[in-house]
Amino acid sequence: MIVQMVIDRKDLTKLTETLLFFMTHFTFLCKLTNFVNYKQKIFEVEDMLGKSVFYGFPHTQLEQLKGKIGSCNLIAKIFRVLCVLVILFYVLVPYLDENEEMSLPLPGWLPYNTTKYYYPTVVFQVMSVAVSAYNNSTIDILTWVLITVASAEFDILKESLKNINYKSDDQNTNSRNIQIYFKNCINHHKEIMNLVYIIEDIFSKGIFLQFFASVIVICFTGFQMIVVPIPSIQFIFLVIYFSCMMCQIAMYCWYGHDVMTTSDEVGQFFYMSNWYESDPEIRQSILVFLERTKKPATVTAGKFVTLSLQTLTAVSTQSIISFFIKRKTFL
Amino acid sequence: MSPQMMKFKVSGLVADLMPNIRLIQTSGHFMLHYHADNSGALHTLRLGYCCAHLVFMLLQYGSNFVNLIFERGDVNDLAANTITVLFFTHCITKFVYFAVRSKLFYRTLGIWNQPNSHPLFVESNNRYHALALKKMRQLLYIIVIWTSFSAIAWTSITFVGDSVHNIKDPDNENETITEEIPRLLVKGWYPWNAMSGMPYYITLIFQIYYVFFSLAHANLLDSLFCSWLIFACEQLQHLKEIMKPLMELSASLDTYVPKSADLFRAPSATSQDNLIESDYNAKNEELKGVYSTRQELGGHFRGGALQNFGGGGVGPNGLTKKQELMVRSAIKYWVERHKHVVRLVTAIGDAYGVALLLHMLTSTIMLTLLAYQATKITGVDKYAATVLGYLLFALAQVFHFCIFGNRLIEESSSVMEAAYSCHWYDGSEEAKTFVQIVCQQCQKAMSISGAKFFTISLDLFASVLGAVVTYFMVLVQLK
Repeated sequence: MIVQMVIDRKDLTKLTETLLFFMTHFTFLCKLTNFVNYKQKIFEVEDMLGKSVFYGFPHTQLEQLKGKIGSCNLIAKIFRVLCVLVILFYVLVPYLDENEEMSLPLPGWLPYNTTKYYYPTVVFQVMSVAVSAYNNSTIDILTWVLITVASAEFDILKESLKNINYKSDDQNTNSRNIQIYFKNCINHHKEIMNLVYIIEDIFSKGIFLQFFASVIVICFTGFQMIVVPIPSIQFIFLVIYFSCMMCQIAMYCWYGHDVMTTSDEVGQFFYMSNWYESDPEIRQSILVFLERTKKPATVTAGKFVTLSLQTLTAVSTQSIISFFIKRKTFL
Repeated sequence: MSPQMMKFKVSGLVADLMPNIRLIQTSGHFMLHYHADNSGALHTLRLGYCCAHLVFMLLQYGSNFVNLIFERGDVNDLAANTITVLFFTHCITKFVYFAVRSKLFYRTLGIWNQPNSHPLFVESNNRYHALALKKMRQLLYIIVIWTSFSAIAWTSITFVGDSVHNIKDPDNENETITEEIPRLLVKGWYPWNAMSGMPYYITLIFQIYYVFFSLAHANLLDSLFCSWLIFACEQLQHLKEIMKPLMELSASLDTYVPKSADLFRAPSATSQDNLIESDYNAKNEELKGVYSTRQELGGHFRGGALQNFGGGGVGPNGLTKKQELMVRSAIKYWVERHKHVVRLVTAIGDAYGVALLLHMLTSTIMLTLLAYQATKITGVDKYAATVLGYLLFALAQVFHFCIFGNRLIEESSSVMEAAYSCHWYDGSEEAKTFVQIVCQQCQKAMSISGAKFFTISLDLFASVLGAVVTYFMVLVQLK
């Protein structure tokens, strides 16, 4: 594909088409390299999640965790379906395209005559695209599910904080029990923050590249959508591809925002308990804990961009504005 | 005995907002609770009334939309029709939104049914409650007058100027001729000929009804939201005011003697226990705010008789046992009341957040198109008046909820300053740590967000206004 781009550098339309697919595959390769590098850390995360501090809760609270992960899985399935549609269209486009005979799904320069070995080449390209799309979506879904686990753990923490009864009946054991409960909550909070930090450490570079590439891909897809005639199969393919890319960014932003808001509310849920009936000794610990809860747990993309709904709004409005400007200049 | 046969008594927010609720019910929203008699026949009748309104609204909206499709050839007409369709999308959205999410609205209206109370702070509570009531009434009057004025202005401007539109000349492709269309408030497609005679008058009356009721639907719901915010803000003012006496109450006897006459007022004669409507908020188990004076202070409390501290021994802070108990109960009242306000604001956000998001989405598109239309104004004529009218109305709607959202943010973050400005250094250790934790919590202001995407504040209004002006300037340059 790189050779194709060099050949086509004069023709803007063809160049953007090649660049489009190139960016996706390049990003995927980078994400894969990143994932393989941090293999050790992922095993660490797995071990960490098995610690009792995350699972020592009554059954009802753990049900919440299951519910949240269930909804994440559903969204992941929808995303997978979208990817499968994209691959399907990859295959169909050369067949239903009336302009060129024997065109390949992917633009690229190959060192042999493609018409002679047409079918093997098509099969090879489709296979490679399918495998890469599957792996790409798997890495994405893994990130989303891990972030959802952290956010569900925050919910459980908030419920436990709200339900602590600080009123001690002037007995030593009772006030010591309250202190133990409270220390458990603090410990839990520390561990979840650690978890989010490690997740961010592992996936941050990949997410940043994904963001960067997605933004470029969205620009170029927008451009292609203007150039390609509307009722053709290529247009539908571009629309589906565009929505797939948007969906990827949107999901990252949504889950990042989710974990940020749930961790922000920890202080507020603590306030909802009967803390004013607590003993003066425990109030010192409460104050230090509240200071920590002021800073929410954020997931960033390479420390540049925080994943949140504000970022998503900014990206969408920018892409819409650039779409209209491109339309104005090219038509 | 069925609950509907019980004597109907309202309390809390529902009682305060009764005029709003009655108006909302009259205009056809699906608010089917809060009636004295809710038997099967009347309930069905009311449901039928609401559905009839819904059907009429949707029919006229559909007619607008069909007209949009028919007139899409001419760019000017397309822009104008799109603006009209988007304008009425607000009203339909709010109507349908309320019908779908009415449970959340009932829950929010029922949250203040069981507020806690404390004999020391009853006077302040009542004062701010009365203030909130006055402001809510004023807002309602302003909204009603504004809606009626807009409807009348719209009707009267229909009868000014020519009632024509441009279509392509069937003989010559490049020319356009003017063709007469019925003189109606909104351009719509009807399967009958509405040019003159009986069909014309019927269509005119129908459109006047449609415009008036659509504006009422949207504005009344917005004013309900703003009234809730007014109530929350006045409660926060109340909390800020009682912080000072609370601190003085806990001050040690040797450093500062509280002015007892100011602090202790006789408890109010009317009972603080309100009748609860049992079937409306059965699920509100979270309300731990019910506060019973007798239970808390044991038998020690006799109204107004706490001025002699001769009784028990002196506690660790230099306070007597009774005074310490009083301080504890006052702190409990303050915190529980504050928590109640936080619950109210969260419920408001849950109930109305998505509606605000949809409103802002529609408004953004509509205001962009209006900026485009505004560049085509040539002089002071009917066109200019209609464009400016739309623009002012849309901006006023956004301003309406932005200003109250902003006030909430300001009030909730100023609680910290109020806590600081009282004599906290004179208070007991317990009172000081109480102030500390309250300050921690109040640093983060309470705000309403449009389904987590943006916060409702004057910043939002400023950015919307700025965007409109920018688009207008850019489009004028490009012309």
